[in-house]
Amino acid sequence: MRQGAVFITVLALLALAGCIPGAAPTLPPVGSAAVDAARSTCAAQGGNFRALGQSLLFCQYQTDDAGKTCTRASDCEGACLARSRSCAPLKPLAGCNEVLTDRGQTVTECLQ
Amino acid sequence: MMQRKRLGIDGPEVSAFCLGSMTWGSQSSEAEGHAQIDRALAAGIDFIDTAEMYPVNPVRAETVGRTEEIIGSWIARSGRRNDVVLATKITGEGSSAVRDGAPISPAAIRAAVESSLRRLNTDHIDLYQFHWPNRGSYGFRQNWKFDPSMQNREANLADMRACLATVFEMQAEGKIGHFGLSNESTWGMAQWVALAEDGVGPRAITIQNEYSLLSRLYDTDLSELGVNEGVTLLAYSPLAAGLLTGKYAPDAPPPPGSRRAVNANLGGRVTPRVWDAIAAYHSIAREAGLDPVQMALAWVLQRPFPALPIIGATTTPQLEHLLGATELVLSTDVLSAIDRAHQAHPMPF
Repeated sequence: MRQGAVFITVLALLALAGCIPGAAPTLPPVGSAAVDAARSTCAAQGGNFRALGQSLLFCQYQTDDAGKTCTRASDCEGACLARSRSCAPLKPLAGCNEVLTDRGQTVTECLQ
Repeated sequence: MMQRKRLGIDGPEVSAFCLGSMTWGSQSSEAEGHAQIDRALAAGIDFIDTAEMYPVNPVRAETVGRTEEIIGSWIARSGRRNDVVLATKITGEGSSAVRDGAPISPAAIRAAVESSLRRLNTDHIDLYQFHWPNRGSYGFRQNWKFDPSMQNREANLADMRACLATVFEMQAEGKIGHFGLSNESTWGMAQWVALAEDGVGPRAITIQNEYSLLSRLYDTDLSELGVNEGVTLLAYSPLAAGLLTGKYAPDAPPPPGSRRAVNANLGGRVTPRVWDAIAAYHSIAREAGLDPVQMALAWVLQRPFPALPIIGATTTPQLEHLLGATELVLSTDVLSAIDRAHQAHPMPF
């Protein structure tokens, strides 16, 4: 009985703690708050926050090996572009792009 | 040592001279174009400007894209794509040789970027420019009869917004690095900058307008915009289509193979008043012991706003001559004499 009373008291205190100003809940942000948080995280990591249409949001980064000659995907930080056989300037790339796979085959990769 | 400049606020750092290409494929051959790129790179010039509609003199539907193909074949042959900063342009409204004169639009931008990438043998254009605005321009001597009274602000802004949003998409696809305008006005540039600040698309880093000792429309409102908004002028025709070389005279036939031999009034630049203006600048150069061509190019770099000249040559020896300007810094005496000549011979065309 005594143990049950203590448990109820602790629960009540925890519930009250949620009402104390300044005691922020630890729930993840949702909706526009989530987008704002993702934008901040992206900026903090040196990326550009991009929107494609209404629903696709992503963080895009500049690569350090842009323009480097490549023959397969693994030669690059991002994509190995098929036409010029050079590493892409950004990762990930939006839209459709012809890229080389790890086996050096040309495929069209789309992010849209 | 080649001076270097950053384009705009956050653009690439490039050589202070940009290599023009607009007659490769008409007045100059593919081999000549390749030789000029090789020579320019050896001199430290790593910035090349072209356009989908080039070559010019004349623009013909069957040669549209030929200059880009020449640059593309150089890239394929040399494997040096990464050694150059590449700028090209989408053609504006009214050129029957390109897309039947259709205006710049989201669909046209997508199609033009893909075509340019294919011709250039690359996957990335460092600087993508609109050749002239859809709403019209006072460039190409249209300033003498410029009439914006039929323009509609809301329609203009809606059009600009749609096009800039597409540029943004192409940038996210990695196909375009930066954005610039050409033959733009102060009002137009201010709107492009404002739209970028609204998040519509990338901020313009350059404006490519005509600018030389003989053509100074940029000097007032646009120069102020350039300073305050961090926009770099890419000065085209810095030798006024060859007039400032002194090779043309009012009463003598133009040299064979020269631009005036195929374009008699040099796009409206040959006027009765231009000859005295040219003579005044040549006199300044002579008295200072300078080459007048090199003086004209060095002067662009010493203007009080962000600017660099686009140099073009028909032959490699002509390019060699222009390269002498890369080491030249004009004295305050020469700059003052140029100011006086400008006041005495304002706006000769």
